[in-house]
Order: sequence, then C-alpha cells, then structure tokens
Amino acid sequence: MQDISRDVVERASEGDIEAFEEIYRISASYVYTIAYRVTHSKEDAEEVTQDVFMGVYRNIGKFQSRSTFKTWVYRITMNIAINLINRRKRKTGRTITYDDAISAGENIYAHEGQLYKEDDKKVIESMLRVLPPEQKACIVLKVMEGLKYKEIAEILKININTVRSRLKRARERLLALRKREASGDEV
Amino acid sequence: MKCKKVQDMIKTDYIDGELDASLKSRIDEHLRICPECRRFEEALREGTVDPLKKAELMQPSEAVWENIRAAIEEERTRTFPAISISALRDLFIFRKPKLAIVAAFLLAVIITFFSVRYYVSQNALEGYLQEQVEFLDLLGNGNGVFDLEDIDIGIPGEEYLL
Repeated sequence: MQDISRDVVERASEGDIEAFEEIYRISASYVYTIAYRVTHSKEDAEEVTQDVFMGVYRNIGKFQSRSTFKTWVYRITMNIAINLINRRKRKTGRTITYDDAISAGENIYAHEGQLYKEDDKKVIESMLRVLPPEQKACIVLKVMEGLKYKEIAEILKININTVRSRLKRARERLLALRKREASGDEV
Repeated sequence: MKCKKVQDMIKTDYIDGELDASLKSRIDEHLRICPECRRFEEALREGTVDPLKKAELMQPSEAVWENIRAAIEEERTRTFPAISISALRDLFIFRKPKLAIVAAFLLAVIITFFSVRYYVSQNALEGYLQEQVEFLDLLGNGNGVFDLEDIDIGIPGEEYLL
C-alpha cells in the first residue's frame, strides 16, 4: 500500500470528504484483502472495511505522524479483524484445534502433483485457515504485504522477537501439515 | 554453523530477507555444502511462502464506500448540535480573568447609567402629566373653582397683571 500524503491526511482531518475518499480509494483494497485473509468471509471483510474507515474518520484528527499513515491503517484493520473472529469464536464456543488444522490442511496437500494446478485462491485460503489469528496476522503482513518485522511489531504492538516466533510457529505448522499429509499418502 | 541453527534462521530472517549481509552469506555458504538444509529451505519456500505470494489484491464492492459515506453524513448531522453547544460554552469561558473583570465592571457601569436615566425620565414625565391633569381640572370643567391665586406662575398675580 502506498503511503498517504500529509496534505491529504490534514485535509481529511479538517472534514474534507473528498480527501477522505482519496484515502479510501488508495487503501480500501489493502484493508479489504487483509480483512478477507483473516476472516475468510466476504461479508465479514466488508464489515471490517467499513468499521476500519469509520474508525479512521473518527480518529484521523488524533493521528500523529510518529508512525506512517499506512502502519496506522494496518493496525486498525488487524485489530478489528482479529476482534471480529475472536468474538465469533466466543459466540460459537469453538476454537481451532490442531486436529481441525490437520483436517483442513489435508485439502492443501492432498494431491501433491496438482497443488499448483489448483486455484491459487483456494490454496491460499486453505493455508491461512489452519493458522491461529495471531500467527495468521504475522504471515499476512510479512508474506502478502511485504512488511518488515519492525513494521509488523509496530502494527500489532508486539515485540519484534514475538513476530519472529509467531512466523516460525506458523511455518512449522504448515510444514507439519505437509509432512503428515505426505506420510499419509505413503500408507 | 550447526544445521539446527541454520534451519531456525531459514524459517524466519533468512526466508524473509531480514538478515544482514554477512550473516546471509554465511547461511548461503552453508546451504551450498549441506544438501539437507538446502532441501529444507526449498520445502519451506515452496510450501509456506511461494503460494501465499500469489495472493492477489481484492476489491470491496462500491456499496462499502456508499455505506461509509452515508454513515459519515449521518454522524455529521448528529454532531452538529454538539458543536454549537460547545461553541456557546466557549463564549462564556474567559481565558483572561483581568480582562473579564474590567469588562464586567464596564458593563455594570453602562447598565446602571441607562437604568438611572430611564428612571429619572419616567419620573419627570409622570410629574408633568400630573400637573397638566390638575391644570385642566382647574380650567373649569364646571365643577372646579378657577382662581388666579391657585395658579403658580412663578410671580404674584398682581405683579403679573400690572
């Protein structure tokens, strides 16, 4: 996501709706994509996008240039998206277990040879679905958004070593699923 | 460098391009001579990184912006009275107390001046009207007694007639 110029941010904070729309046009697709990667639902991603931009509108006057506008928007997006899925999980009383992850992951590597012939979108979704929200957030920001560890730490308000350990655990989980599926094929 | 340490670094900083140049070249060197770590690196990249990099940017429907715009308009309408109240409140907040005291004193003087003036003029008018009523009464409406002596013209009547 390209960063938003200070001038546009200032105009938007003074209530200029056209400046705010400019911010939306530049960043909405990034916000929506991240929201979708975390929630796995178009309806939820739209709800998150709407909440994110209402949050940006209400708080743009308080935005301080200590961090970039991009980082600030990513942080709001991640908070709202993770809160939404945690709220849903509490409502249904269901948490993702390792076995759930394994069974969901079976779809990914079921047909090794066909893996890359499958629809990329489905593969990506299946991979992300097996990760807990915190690990998923780090993977999305690092691999899909191409952010630095330092930026991810700032967005998620966590230590840089926590970013490292979450990425490590996420990749170990994905590798374990792959190994298990491969050994299952051999049986 | 031991394979376990190398593989731990591959899982994070190496594969994510976060290593400094000297450490990266040490890992590259290890991968050149260690087939097991090389296979590990390839499996990790193919299984956990490359597929995710194919992810495309998605677009929300135009309805999302329409909803946001409508919500902003509604919020603005709702917050307008609040802004007026706060503006009015600001009007009565004096940030310079000395100036406020002087202003209050001047206001009190001006109010007193006009009040007194009004009161005096009201009394004068009432007095004049009363005199006129009494005078007309004396002029003889049939019931009153007209006598020059009753009229105070500032000098005795005899002198006036002379």
